[in-house]
Amino acid sequence: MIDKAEQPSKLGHLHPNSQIIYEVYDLMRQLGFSVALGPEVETEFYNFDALNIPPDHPARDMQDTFWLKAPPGLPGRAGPSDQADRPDDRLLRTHTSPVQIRYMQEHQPPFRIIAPGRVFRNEATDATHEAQFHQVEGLMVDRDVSLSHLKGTLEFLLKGLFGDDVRLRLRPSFFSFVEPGLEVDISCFRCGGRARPDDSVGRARHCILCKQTGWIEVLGAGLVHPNVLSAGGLDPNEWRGFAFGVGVDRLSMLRYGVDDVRLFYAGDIRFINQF
Amino acid sequence: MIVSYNWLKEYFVDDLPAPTEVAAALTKYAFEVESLTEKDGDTILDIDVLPNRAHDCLSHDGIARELSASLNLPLKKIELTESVEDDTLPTLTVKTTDEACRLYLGRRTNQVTVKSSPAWLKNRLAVLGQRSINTVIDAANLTMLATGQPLHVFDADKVSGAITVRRAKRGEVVVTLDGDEIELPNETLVIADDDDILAIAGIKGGRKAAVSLETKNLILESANFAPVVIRRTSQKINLRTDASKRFENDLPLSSARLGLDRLTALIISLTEDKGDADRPMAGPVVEFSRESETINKIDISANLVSDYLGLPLNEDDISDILHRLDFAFSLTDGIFTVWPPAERLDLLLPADLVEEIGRLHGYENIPSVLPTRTEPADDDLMFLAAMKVRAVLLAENFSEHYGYAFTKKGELKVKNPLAKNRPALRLNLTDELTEKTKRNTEHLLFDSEAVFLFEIGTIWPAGREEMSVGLSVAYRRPKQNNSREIIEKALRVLEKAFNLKDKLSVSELADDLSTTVAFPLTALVTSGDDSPADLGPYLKPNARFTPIINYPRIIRDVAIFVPAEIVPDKVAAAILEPAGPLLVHGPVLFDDFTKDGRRSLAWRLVFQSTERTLADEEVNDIMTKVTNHLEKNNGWQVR
Repeated sequence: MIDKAEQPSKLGHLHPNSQIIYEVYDLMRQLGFSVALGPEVETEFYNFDALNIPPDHPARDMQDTFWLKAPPGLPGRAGPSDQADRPDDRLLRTHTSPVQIRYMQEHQPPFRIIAPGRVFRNEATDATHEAQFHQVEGLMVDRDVSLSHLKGTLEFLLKGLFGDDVRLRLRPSFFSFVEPGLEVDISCFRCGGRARPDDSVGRARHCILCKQTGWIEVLGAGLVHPNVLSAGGLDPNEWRGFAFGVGVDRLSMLRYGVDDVRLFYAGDIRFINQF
Repeated sequence: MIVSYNWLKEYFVDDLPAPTEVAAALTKYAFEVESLTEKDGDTILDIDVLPNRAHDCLSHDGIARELSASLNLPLKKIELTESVEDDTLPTLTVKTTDEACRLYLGRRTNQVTVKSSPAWLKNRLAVLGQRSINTVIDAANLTMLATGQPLHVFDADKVSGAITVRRAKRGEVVVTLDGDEIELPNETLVIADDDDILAIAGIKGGRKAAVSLETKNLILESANFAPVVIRRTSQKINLRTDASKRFENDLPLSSARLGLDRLTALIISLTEDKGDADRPMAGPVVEFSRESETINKIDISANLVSDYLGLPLNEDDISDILHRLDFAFSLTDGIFTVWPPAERLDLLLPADLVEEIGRLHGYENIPSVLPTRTEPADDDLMFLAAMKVRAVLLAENFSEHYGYAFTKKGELKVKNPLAKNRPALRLNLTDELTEKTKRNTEHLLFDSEAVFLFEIGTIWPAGREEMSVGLSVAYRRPKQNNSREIIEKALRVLEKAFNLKDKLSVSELADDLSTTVAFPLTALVTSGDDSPADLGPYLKPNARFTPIINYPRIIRDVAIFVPAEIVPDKVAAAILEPAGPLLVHGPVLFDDFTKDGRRSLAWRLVFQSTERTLADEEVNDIMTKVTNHLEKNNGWQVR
C-alpha cells in the first residue's frame, strides 16, 4: 500500500463524542425518543432546586459548581446567609438534568426525550477528569412507566452501543432526582468478565476496563422523583417517569480505548484523525 | 466507610458467609463494596455508602442492618451491661440557646481509671486505621464506629463551671487535641466552659479538658448539631474529621441517646479497676433538646409497588421484605402502613419504600420490557441543523473540534475559575479555532497540505448564549495558502444544502496562513428541513485509539531512479525493509516522472520513537542503510 501525497482522505473526521451522541440518538429514535436541548448557563432553580437537591447539599459548593459573577448593574440576589457570597444564581449546569424540568414545564405528557449537551464541574483536571464534559439525559413520562420499562430501554440502548453480548447489572444507588435510584453496569466487553487476578489457565489476569470485576459502570438512572415531577408542573399521582444520564466522554473512552479525557478537547488532529 | 468483617460477624446469631460473599451481597442489595483487604487476621471492606444513607450507615450497626436485610440473617440483640447509673452524682449543667445545637446529652462519670487499652480494642481500632490513645478516647472512637454517633469526653476536673454551647466571638482561639492553634471564624459553634473553649462543636476537641492517664472524672457528650453549620465551619477552618463527616449528614436524633448509653457502658467496663472498692459510676443524663423526633408513616399498596417496579409482587412478598428490614408495619385492606425505624430519615414517600422493596427483591428479577413503540416527536431544530452542518462539512474534508468554554476575556465571568488566566466564557469560536488549526500544521507532511477544522459550540457574546458554527483552514507557508478559497467553497456548499437564498453573513479572522469564519447556527435553522442528516458513513465504532507520540519526528526524503518497468510498490517495499521500526509514517510517494527510459520516484519518510528524542545521526544511519539496500538492485540509483 502506498500513501499518496495528496490529501489522503476526502472526508473529515467526526469527533468521537459526536459519534456516541449520534449513535445514542439513532437508537433512541427507534423507541420514539426525540431530542430536546437546554442552555449551558443555567439557574440554581433548574440545576438544583427543581431536581430535589437540597439547598445545603455539598454539590452546590464552590468546589463543584462554576458560579457566574453577576453582570455589572444587576443587583445581588438576597439569599440565605450561606449564599450571601453569591450575588447571582446563575451557574454552568453541572448535568443535563435541568432539561428534564424545562421540557416538563413546556410539554404535556406523555413524552420521551433525550437531551445531549455539555456540562461543567469545577474539579482539578487529570486523565479522567475534565472541567467540561458531555452527557446525554433520557426522560420518559407516561401514566404507567415502570422500572421494567427503564430496564428494557437501557438494555436496548447499551446492547446497541456495545453489542448484543453485553449483560446489564442494576445496583442500588442514589441521585436526588430519582427514586428508586440505580447504577447500571454492563458486563465487560473487553475481557468478557473472564480476567481473574489468580488465574493460572491462561486467561488474562488484568483488565484495564473492569479491573477484574467483570463489570463496568456506565450510567445512573431511576424513576423520576415525585418532587421533580411536581417541580416540572406535573401531578405525580397522575404521571410517572424514568430518567437516565450517561457520560458521553466516558462511553467514548470505553469504546475507543482513550486513556485521557483531555484529548477530547485538545484539538489535536493526531487524535481526531484516528476516528 | 471502612468496615471490619470480624466485627460484623459479632452482630449475627449465625455464621456469616465468606467476606467475598458478604461484599457481593452488599453490592447487589445495598452499597457497592469497592475493595476487600486482608489485615491482621481480619478482612476490611471499603464500602461506598450512598449519600442518602450516610446518616445511618457510616457505622458498623448500619452496615450490619443492611447485611441482615440483604442476606435475611437475624441480628443479635445488643445487651448493655447492668445499670451503672448513680443518681447521687452531681448533674451536669448545660447552657445553650443556639438553634444549631438541636440536642445535647451529657453526664458525669467518676472514679475511672484511664489506662492503655486492652489488645482487642487496640487491634480493632488498628485494622480500621485508628490510633489507640487510652481506654476512654478509644471507647469514644469505637462507639462512633459502631453507632455512627460522634461522641466526646472531657476531663471533668479541668472544666470550670457549666458546659455552654455557643458561638465563638471574633478572634477566639482554640488549641486542638493535636496541638494546632486555630483562630475560629466568627459564629463558629463551640463547646465552652465558663472560661475557655473546650471543643469546636461536632468537629474537634480542644486541649484544655483533654482526657489523660491522670483523669479521674469524666464528662461524656453526645449531641446533634445542625449539619449545615458543621459543614460550613469544617470548610472554613479546613478540618474534616470522622465526627464532622457524620454530623454533616444530618444524624438521627435517636442515635445520640444510643451512642451515649453504649459509650457509658463501654467506658465503665474498660476503666473498672477490679482491685478498687470504688467502682466507676455514671451520673444522670442531662438532656437539652430543641427538636423532637418526628415519627413518619407511609401508606402503600401492593399494587402500587408492582406498578412502579413493573413486577407483580403480592402481599406476602412485600411483608417478607419489610420483616427483613425490621420495619414496623400493618396491613389493612391491601394497604401497608409502614413506620420506618427512627434512624431511617431517608424514608418519606411511597417511592422510597418502592426502592427498599425493589432492591431487596433484587433488581435482576425485574423484567426487561421495551415501552410500546411510538413515533418520536420533532427533534430540537438546532440539533437537526447541527447534524446537517456536520454532514456537509465532513464531506468537505473538515474534521470536528470540541473547544473549551473558558477563555481570557469575556462578558460573563466565572466566580471561581479553575485557571486564573481563563476566568470568562468565550465570546466566539474563531480565536481558539484559529489557534488550534494553525498549531496543527506542524503535524502535516507537506506544505501543500492544510488543516481543516470545524466546531459547533456555545458562545456568550454580549452576555447571551448562542450556538455558533466555526470553520478554519490553515497552511504552513504563506505561499501555499489557499484557505480563503476552501472556506468560501464550504460556505457555498452549506448555503446550497440549507437552501439559503442569501449568502451567510460570517465573522472572519484571517492572516497569511489561515482563514477562519463563524456564524450563528440559527442562520441555518429557519430554512432547514426536519429530516435528520445521516452521519452513519462517518461512524468508526471499531476505531482503537493509539497513544499520540510526543517526541519530535524527523522527516527525510529519498529520491531514486529505477528502470521504467519497476512499479512504485516494489520500491516502497524495498525502503520499508531496511528502514526498521522507527519509520512511523511513509514512505509517501510525492513525486513521480519518467525521463530517458528511467522512472524517478521521490518518497517522504517520518521517523519517530515512542520512548525518546531521536538523534539526527541515528536517522542518517538508517537512511544510509536504505540507500545501500536500494542500490543493490540493478539499475536503481538514489539521487
